Amino acid sequence: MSTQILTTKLHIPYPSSNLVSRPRLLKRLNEGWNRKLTLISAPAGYGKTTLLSEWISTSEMPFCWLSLDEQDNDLNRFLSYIIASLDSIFEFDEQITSEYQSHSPDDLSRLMIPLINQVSDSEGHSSLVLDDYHLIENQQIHEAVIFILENIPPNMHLVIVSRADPPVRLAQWRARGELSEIRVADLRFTIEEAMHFLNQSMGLDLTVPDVTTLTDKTEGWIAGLQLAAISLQNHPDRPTFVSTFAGDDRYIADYLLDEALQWQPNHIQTFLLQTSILDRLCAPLCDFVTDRNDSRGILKELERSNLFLVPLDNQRNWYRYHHLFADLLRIRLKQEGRESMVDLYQRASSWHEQREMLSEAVRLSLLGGDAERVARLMEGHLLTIVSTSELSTLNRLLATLPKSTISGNPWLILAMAWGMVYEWKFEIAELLLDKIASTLHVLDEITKDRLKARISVLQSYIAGSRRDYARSIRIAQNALRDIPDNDLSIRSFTLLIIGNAHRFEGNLSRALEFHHDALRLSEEARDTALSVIILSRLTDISRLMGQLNRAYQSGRQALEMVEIYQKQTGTQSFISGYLKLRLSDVYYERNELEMALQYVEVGLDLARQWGAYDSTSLGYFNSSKINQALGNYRQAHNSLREFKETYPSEQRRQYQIASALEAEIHLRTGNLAGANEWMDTSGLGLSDRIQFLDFQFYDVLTQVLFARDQLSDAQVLLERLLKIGEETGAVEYEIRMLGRIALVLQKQGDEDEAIDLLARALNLAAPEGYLRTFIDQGEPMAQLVYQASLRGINPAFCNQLLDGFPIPVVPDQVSQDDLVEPLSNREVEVLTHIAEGDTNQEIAQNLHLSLYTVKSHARNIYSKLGVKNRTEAVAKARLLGILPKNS
Amino acid sequence: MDSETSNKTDMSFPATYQITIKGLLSEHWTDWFNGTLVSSLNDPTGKPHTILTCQVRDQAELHGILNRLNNLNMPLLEVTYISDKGEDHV
Repeated sequence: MSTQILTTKLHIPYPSSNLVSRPRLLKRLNEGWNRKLTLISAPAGYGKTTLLSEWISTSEMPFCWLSLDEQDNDLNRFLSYIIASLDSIFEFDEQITSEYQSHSPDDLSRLMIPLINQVSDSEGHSSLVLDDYHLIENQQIHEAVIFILENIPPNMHLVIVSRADPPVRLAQWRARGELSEIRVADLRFTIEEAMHFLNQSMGLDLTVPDVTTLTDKTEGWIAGLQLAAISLQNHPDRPTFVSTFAGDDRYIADYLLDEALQWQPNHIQTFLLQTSILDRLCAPLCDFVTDRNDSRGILKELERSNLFLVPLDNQRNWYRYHHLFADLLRIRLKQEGRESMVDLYQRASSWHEQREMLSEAVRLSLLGGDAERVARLMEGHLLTIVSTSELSTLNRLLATLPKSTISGNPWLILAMAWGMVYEWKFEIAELLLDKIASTLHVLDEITKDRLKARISVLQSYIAGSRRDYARSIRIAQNALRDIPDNDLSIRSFTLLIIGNAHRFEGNLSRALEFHHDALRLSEEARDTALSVIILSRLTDISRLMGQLNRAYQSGRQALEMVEIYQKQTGTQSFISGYLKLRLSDVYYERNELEMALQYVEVGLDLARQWGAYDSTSLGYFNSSKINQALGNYRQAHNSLREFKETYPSEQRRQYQIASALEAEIHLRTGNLAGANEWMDTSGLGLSDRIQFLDFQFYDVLTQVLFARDQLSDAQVLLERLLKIGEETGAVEYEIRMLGRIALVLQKQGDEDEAIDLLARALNLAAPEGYLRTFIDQGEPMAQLVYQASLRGINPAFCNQLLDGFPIPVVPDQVSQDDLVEPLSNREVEVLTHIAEGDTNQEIAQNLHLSLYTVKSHARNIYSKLGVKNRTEAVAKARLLGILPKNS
Repeated sequence: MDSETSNKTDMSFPATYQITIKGLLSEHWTDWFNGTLVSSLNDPTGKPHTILTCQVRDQAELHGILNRLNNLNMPLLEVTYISDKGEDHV
């Protein structure tokens, strides 16, 4: 949950209805807008946030807001929130909003420059407020803020609100006159302000000397005055209260809280103390933690009586206590006994656990000092945490535990080991596993067995990540012998790992078996998350094996599970991201591009939010594929580039896939040089031993060879790939290879042979409706399918396919002469740019035309060609020889 | 300050610090910063103050405590390094 954008963090706090207006400070704030930075630095309770919300409500300037918390000490997370916040004003390009997900935050400027440029290019202007900046300790984030300040465009202003001065080179900005500061001395209430506050806002009727005494005693500290006012509201003898308070030497907040609480009814006192452990409160959570059922009413009442409760959203669902008030309450609570506190944290943690807000659950357990429970959460939800990639957050939380606590608890070490695997640090993970193994002897038998099993599972997972599938399977098989029969989830997970290894190795029917076994166990264990993951993978395997209908059923079944689950828990489930991406595969193959696009957008969004590498890559690739199919080559290309920039490690397979897919786009847009360059640098050779997992690379290679007219090389390679498809049962590959070989034969002039092969492909594809596998092979394939239909081969399916090609297939001999009205030179020029995937805007710039003119050219082109959109226009123009024909 | 330790340049940890703040704190704060606490009305300036004596593992922990005092708006009067043999004092 923590990696999703919590919109409550972006809400500008509402100005309180009984605000003390502070024109003297507003004036200074307004004067500071032309400088780079406004700093509001003062301890808690000086009205920093309140002052800002008044500024915002009275200012004509738009503001973006970000309330920081401890969990934002992660550069990627921090930047993603900054972007989400700025997005409300500047409406960034999609590509920017994903830029931040980089796993190499070292190169700060690369991350920041596009962001700054977008702001600077934008017509809007805004101030960005970073509230509670003192919670940031991460040096990288300080550097990011310095970078922003150094490069801040004139249409942006930064406001930092903090309890301590942030290390962002304040002296430098101050010296250059770029800093506007509001500090404690400015924020203290003057006697006039205190008068207004106590007598008007809080409805007291104090004399000037009394107000003066209170202001002196509290030194204008607003929280102190507020606490005093709450006590005074209920106090029978106000003058006595004032004089007693003035004469007391205790720490004033301590004294005042005692007073304030004393006048609250018992149940409110208890409620305040018990809920003080929560950073964010909502009524159901408070009910659960305090074992009451009237929390909603209490929260409303507290808000009404100014008891330091801050609403976080319009609907009054979520609140938080004023920091200082919460701190003071927690100290009181601790006084009441360690045990009750542990119990409260435990309840709060399990409330979040039930809603799968696991990192918050872990955080609360850590605060409760309940390392046991953290370990149990890891034990119970390890798989969910692993599969939802909440590991990065967890890594950071675990880092807050003392080393001795972690090293004393094998579950926590195991959690760390998973975290290391997530960061691709296998050696460290293995060291950690060794460490657990060495402590096993002191544990009871049951725990020992459970741990042993999980160590093996992780070892197997590591082997699989290193592509050593034989080892991965061996370890997992051994583990299965030791895992108790009733340890269902882990058995299921182990079977899933074996199934995965088989899938990557190309033993698809074995993979299918293991996935089915895994699914049986996960369903028996009622482990929804795991079942959904297994079904998603089944969707993939079935599609690959030529069972598109079954793939669809598995996907829909999983989707229903997710929906029921989400209804029950009221939360968005992470795993649905991967599922939707796998479903988009199916829709794509069926040529239902709208649906495919819809699923890819949601899926990629979720994947990016939890930073899951595999799903994110899948999302970008699918998005690229779909955009190609829609004729948006530029956008298709951008998706791949974006992915590469997000995960710039060239060694990883997905990065290389992205390069291969780029080469494919080059081929389709007639950029043979680009495709050649890929081939030369790819390191692929005709005589390579081809692993199943690398099928895709060689498939692209055959297309380059084909385009270069190296037909016999292409054919040899295609025959080898076809054999792999046949032997592994990857029917989808088989269909595709048959089609490609048919095109080679056709180009060689052997049309009969070509149609024979195509007929084989059609027979495999027709019952399950594989369409894109053909359509993606372009215009020559359309011609070939047309010929096949003329010969009466599977005519119904052929017609279905022909409908799917971008333009109605017409006989070969047409030329531009057949057009009622030929295209003008200018129109051909525009069309050439369209074919290259340029946007209208870009064409306008390149040809020095107005956007309007380009659009009108485009309309004429469509009408002359008798087509509806750019894709059809380009395809038809190629067919007519207006544009060079490419394969 | 302890004359023996005051000359030291390389401090070692855990160490004991005395933190003096303005105002009087009641006993229950002891637990909060994990140390001992003595409140007194009589200091050289005649103002009420509280001395917190606490053992910290490193500078970072010390800064953590100072931050928390800041968060509670407790004015700081003095921070003194006492000894690196923290355990003897607590």
